[in-house]
Formats: sequence, structure tokens, C-alpha cells
Amino acid sequence: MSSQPNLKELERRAWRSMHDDGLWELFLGATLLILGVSALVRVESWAIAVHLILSVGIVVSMVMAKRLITVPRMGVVNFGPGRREKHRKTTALLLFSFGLGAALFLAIASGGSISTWFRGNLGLVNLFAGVWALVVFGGMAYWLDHPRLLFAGLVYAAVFSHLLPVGTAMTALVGGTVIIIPGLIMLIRFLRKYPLPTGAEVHDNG
Amino acid sequence: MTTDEGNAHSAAQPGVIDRLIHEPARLMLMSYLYVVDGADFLFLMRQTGMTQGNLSSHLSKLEQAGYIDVEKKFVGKKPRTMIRATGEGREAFQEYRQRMESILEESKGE
Repeated sequence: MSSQPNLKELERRAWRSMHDDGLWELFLGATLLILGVSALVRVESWAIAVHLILSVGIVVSMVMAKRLITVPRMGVVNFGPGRREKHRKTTALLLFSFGLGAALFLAIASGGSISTWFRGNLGLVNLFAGVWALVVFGGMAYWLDHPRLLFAGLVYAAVFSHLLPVGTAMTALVGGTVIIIPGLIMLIRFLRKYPLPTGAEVHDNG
Repeated sequence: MTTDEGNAHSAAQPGVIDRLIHEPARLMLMSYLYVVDGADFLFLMRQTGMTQGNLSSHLSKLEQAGYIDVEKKFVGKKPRTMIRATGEGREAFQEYRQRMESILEESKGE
């Protein structure tokens, strides 16, 4: 029977439709832009402060955007335990990754022998950071069923590995822009495809 | 049995297709509700492309048959209608799928 749906595909379509808003791309692109802007600040303590403030701002903006843009247009759905488990794995990977990044940062900033080693082996450290970015984004793309994250992962890997022959700030700014542009296009398409429902649809539902 | 509701209950008889689920729009709805834990009215409207009235009508039939549970609540000042497939609805949908698959298998052999 042609109307017999493929349930796995149906669930995947529903899941992906909730992530077609381009917000992930905007978030990840903005995170790289923040890295670039922070790198432009000459005083290190100010650079850290700028990075932290802007990072918190972008996380809050992402959460608010999901609530104010996606949910009012797409509705609310609770996915099954399989998706929740994958979401937990992704969160664990991200937390571990952030923890590792923070530990490396503190090790470098603290001075001493660890810092000296890191500063003396920047090429190796950058290569590790690039490979790690690929691992994290690969895991996210797989568990979140979100192949577009692989593209963001490649850009992050290129930025962290310093593959481009320009400074850190410029590399991050270019990388962030490269991720943000498709995100913006997706957001515009999403807003056009799913206008806000009318009052009757929202208030008289069911 | 001539009504959809009547056919829903006759689905328990061997070899009878559950016509309540067999209707394409309701089959689509039951499929979505089978693969997720729950969804609100707007989500189902977006995914299925049905109009508000059409969706309401099909949901009412499924609710009357006990296949779905409709919960109306307020989130802040906004109303939200959450819909879930009941255990009975999941069983009926599973049974419908198995029955259709066996019919299709039989037809291949002919």
C-alpha cells in the first residue's frame, strides 16, 4: 500500500523539520566570530571578558530564538527515548569538550612548565584542536542526525588548525562568516515557509 | 458496520482492517503519534499539512475511539493542546500495520 508510511523516515523528517531553522549554523558561526573579535582585543584579560560576555549572550540568544522563532511556528513535540538518549550523549560530549578546552586554557594561562610546553608545540596543539573539532562535530552530526554540522566541523577544524595563512582573528572571522551565511539563508527560508499561525489556529486548536 | 467508529471496534476480528486508521489522513496522524511521545496541535498541522478544521475532525474521531489522549492546558497565557497515542491506539496501529503487511505479502504470492 503506497500510503503505508516508513515510520523511521517519518520520525527523521519530523526531527529534521524542527532543525531547519538555521539557528545551529547561526550559533556556531557566531561562536567563531566571537573568538575572532576576542582575538582582536589586545589586553588579554579584556579579551577573556569580552569572550565570556559575548558567549553568554549568544547562548541566551540561541535559547530565546528557539522559543520565539521555532516553537511558535513549528509547535511542540516530545521525541521518543532513542532521541533523548542521543541528546544526552551529545550534551556529555559537548560538556567534556568544553571542560577539556577550559583545562587547556588554564594550563596555558597559568604559566609554568605546562604553559612552556604548549607554547613550544603550538603546531601540535593546533593540529590536536582541529582533529578534536572534527571528532566533536562528527559525534554531534551523527547523534543529532544533523549532517550539516559536518560542514561547520570542517570550518572549525580549519580555524583551530590554523590552516589559513592569516592571523587567528581573521581566520575565525572568515570561518564564522562562512558558517553564518548558509544559516541566514536557511532562517529566511524557514520564516517564509512557516509564517506565524493565525490567532484562530493557535487559540482554537483541537 | 458502516461508520469509522464502528469499524474501529470491529478491527479486533481476524482479517478485518481497522477503517478508522485506514483513512489516509488518520493513518498519517497515527503514524506521527506512534513515532513520537507526544505533539501539540500546531506540530501535527505543520507535519501533515492539514487544515485546522480537518485536523480537529480527525483527532476527535481518534479520541472517541480511545486511540489518542488530548490534553488541553495553558503555558503562561497561551493554550496548548498536547496529543498522545494511548496504549490502545499504539496496539491498534501496530495491529493495523501487521495486517496490512500480511495482506500485501499474500497479494505478492498470487
